[in-house]
Amino acid sequence: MLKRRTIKFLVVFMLLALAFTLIAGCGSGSKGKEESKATDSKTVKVAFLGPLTGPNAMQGVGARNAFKLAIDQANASGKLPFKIEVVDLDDASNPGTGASVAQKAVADQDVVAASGHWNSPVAEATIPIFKSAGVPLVIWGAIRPTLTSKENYPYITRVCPTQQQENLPLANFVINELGRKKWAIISDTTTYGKSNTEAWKNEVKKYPGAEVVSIDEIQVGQNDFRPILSKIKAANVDGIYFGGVVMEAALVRRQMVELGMKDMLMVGISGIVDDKFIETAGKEAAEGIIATKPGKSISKLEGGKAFEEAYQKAGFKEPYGAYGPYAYDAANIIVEALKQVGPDRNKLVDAIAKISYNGLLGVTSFNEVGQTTNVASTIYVVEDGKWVDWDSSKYKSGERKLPGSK
Amino acid sequence: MSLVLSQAINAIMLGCTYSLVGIGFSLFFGVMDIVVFCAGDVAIFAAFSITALVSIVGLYAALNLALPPFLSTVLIVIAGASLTGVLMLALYRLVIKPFENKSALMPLLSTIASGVALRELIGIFYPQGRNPQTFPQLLPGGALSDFAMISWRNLIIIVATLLLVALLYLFVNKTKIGLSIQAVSQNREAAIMVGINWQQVVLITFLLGGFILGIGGFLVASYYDVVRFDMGSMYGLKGFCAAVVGGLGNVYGAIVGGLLIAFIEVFVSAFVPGGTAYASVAAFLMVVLFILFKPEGVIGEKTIEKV
Amino acid sequence: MINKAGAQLSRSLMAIAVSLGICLILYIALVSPLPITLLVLAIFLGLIVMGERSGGIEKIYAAMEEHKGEALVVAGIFALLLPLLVSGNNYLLHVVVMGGIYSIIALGLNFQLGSTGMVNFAPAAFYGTGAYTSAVLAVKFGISPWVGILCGLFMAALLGIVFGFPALKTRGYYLSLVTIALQVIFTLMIINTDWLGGPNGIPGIPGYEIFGFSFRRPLEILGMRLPYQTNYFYLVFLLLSLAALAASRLYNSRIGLAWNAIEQDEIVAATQGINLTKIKLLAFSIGAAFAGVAGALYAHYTSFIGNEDFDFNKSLVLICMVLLGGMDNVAGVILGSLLLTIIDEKLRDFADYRMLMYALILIIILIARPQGLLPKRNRKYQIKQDNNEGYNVTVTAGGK
Repeated sequence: MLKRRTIKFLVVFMLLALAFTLIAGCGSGSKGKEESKATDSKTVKVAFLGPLTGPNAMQGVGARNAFKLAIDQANASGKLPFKIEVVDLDDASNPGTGASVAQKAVADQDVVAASGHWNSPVAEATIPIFKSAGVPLVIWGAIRPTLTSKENYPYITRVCPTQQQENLPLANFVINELGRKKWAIISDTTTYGKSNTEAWKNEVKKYPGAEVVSIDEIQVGQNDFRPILSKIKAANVDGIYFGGVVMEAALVRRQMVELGMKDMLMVGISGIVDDKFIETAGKEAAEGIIATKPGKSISKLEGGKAFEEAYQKAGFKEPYGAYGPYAYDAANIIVEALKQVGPDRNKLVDAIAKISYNGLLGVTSFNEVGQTTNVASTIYVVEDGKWVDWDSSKYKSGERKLPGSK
Repeated sequence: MSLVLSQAINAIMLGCTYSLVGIGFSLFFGVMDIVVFCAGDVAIFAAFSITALVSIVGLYAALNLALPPFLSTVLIVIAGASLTGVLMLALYRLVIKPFENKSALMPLLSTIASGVALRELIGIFYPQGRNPQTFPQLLPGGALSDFAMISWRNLIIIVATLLLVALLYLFVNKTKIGLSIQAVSQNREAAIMVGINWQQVVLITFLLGGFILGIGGFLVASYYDVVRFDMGSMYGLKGFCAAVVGGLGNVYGAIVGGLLIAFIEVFVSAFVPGGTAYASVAAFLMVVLFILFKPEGVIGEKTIEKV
Repeated sequence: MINKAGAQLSRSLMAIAVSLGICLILYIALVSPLPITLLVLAIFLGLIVMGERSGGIEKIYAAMEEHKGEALVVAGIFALLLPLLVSGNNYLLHVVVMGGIYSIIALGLNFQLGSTGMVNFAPAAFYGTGAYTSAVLAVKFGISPWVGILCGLFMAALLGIVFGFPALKTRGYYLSLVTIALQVIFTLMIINTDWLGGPNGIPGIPGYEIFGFSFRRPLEILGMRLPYQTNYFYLVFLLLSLAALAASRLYNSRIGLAWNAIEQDEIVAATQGINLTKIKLLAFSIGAAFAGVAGALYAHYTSFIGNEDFDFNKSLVLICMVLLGGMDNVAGVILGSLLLTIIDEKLRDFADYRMLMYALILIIILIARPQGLLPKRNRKYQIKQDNNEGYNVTVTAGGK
């Protein structure tokens, strides 16, 4: 048995630890509050929802930064009769949490519009809440096709393309132009992964002679893909399609090299177009990986350079990630609508749905279900440790050969 | 055939990583009769400290100036493992000792909670801690030869595991303190009566267990090339399963248990159509069946409870 | 005589005051920002500890026991007025609804964890079973959610028996590992089963309807427009009351006594003629049934369910709730669940530190106050002699 004194000591120790985390927490929390106090008395609030903690935090934080950047620019421009304040809410990639913070957002009458979500299930959970409260939601990163629909129009709009819109050009490219026909699919068990599997299967079916040989589903956070890869190696395919996100993709590629499969093509979609992929997989291992990303590459966009410079200047630590530009445009679309009709939820709903906005990604307007019509996509390839536009790569010019080329 | 062989190698590698945590579980359970649930997180803590030593402090590069790479790797691993040994002692003092002689649920919950706390501390205080970190390549990566399907690194991991177990065997059977650990794990009261300093034995066990977990964490991270702050929970759970399948408290059983779980996972995902998603399900089901029908484990003895 | 009546009256007033006090503390915790919430809770805990030191708390317990009726009526009136008090703030109501749902599960979990001393790390699986059963019936077969709630209850109870089966053969660490494994298997199976929506979850679950009135509509009474959460608030309040009633009846019955006997010593309990198989499975199935009802409620409340809501972490949180409130104490378990739900929501602003704080709180409770906020009460037996009908043993709670 322990002595009373010892118990007291332990409790005091734990309480101190708790107090410390609380203070640390409050410290970081109150910073935000001070900023908001500094703004004018007349403020309009816009909610940003995304995974700010948890496994997808890098996507969410990058997008949040880009979103804030756009709002800060709008505030600084002085063209608005009021100040806009960003309420950033963490959905932690969890639908329950997402629903809860969405409730919180719509309960605040000052919140006139929202932009949210990287995870489609979270969007599924919050959409009814925004709809019933009459708050417009612009989706910046969730790509499940059914999120925008007739029932959800005009409340829900989306600036990023859906999975179908993403997989189509990639399949066309690798099957028609590169002539790879036998495919193995590896994807994760999340919505993202599963609907990628679905989309890719359907795309491959459209091409005569092309087939999907195997489908393997992995858990996000899994680290060991050697059993799957050994199996695929024996099946002799033309390429591996990876329908997941950065980290698992990088490990798959790394372990492919380890198992002597360096000479097999690997392709993916926007989820893996990230410098982190190359860093983790290793520069050499990543060489010749192909992926597609919706939108034109940042460097090709008109405002791309200005955006990157402004992002650097704003001093954000985290990279803006694959969806930063979408969040940036989502914010600007909300600002544009605010300029047109002022801070009124009902008016904003229609104004956003009918908008035609020329921004970072080009001209964005929404179709009859609220889906963006601005869909362009670029094929990227890893060359010397960088994601390079296919059209300007040494692979296209024939200086280098892709893995598995005959 | 070569497919089966390469899958067997995959399974053995995975089994080694599970075993090391399983050994930690069994060691603590043998001496203290408690399950230290944060073992997985402690192991991952070691991997993070080694990552920090190498990529933030730059210790590896510094050591390499004076020593051959192999020796500097060993030194860094020992440094990381010692750190975890100390951490384990601290955990014992803070969250395990207060619950001696109390209901078994309490140390279980407190160690689960401290596992969560450890995980979160890494996530918060390690720079970019919530993102996966690339683990520094301290072991040579190349293939052994063109014919063998095993790489240098895998060979080192297997050899290191075996070496660790052999050393543990020698320590437990040939040294005085090792023998007292055995004595305590067989019968605590009797051990105290013959003059064994029980408290000392417990402290040494935790130090030793922490050290082994540290090396386990290093080997796991080397095998995966990546460390995540939340890796410890699943890894710890599989280690616990390995220990139970092998017979809780039986250090060598944990190795058998780890291999068994790994083989089931690998072969289900490789040879059952669509089985990849069900690999963990199969492994856990096996564990449940084991507990229900052979709770003493693969090589454990059946004990009868006396009233 | 008069003195006695006066004492009666003052005790009854005390019970009402304490009941009101607890309601107010919960209310303040709900509406104020985090630091004040924590301060209020610290004062509350301090009061309990002081009361225990001086022995004054025994008087309060006795008064509460004696005047249970008055105390409950006060709490009930307070709850009924709550939607008006928070003036229709739908977020605060949402927090309370979730607190109520968790309370129901925690009451069920308490049968295993608190009463019988069987470790169960899978309450979230029972919760999920109820939710998925009711949701699938409503979405795929168009069956009324009211029927769904019963089916959810039934399916969860069935799963409870399946999960309870290992408890017959093992206990302690082995049982904990079995339940953890089953919980993980449950989550994985949901992700892998496309028919259940897999990782997409099940969206578009209809709400409850009664005589054509949809629970998703704002409630209008006395010319006031209250958000739709109010409807669910009253439903959850009703079901929680029923659950609490059932739980305390069970506690005071022979079954509750048998559970406690098993917790003390299984072998002795068996020699006393307690049917271990039946009683243990009962603890699991009834507990699971509670969670099943809560799950069905949750599904039709949020209109979306996914595997993330029913994973191992949720189980840990539920265990925390039972532990914080006080094992084997109905009032304590409800208090613990409500408080932890409120604190959890307050911590959302510090999302990065949230899990860490959870862990630290759990460790602090375990070290400093393992018995929870409201500790388990010893049973007291009174032997009443009725005229000629022999001895009649009644059980009342109270007194150490």
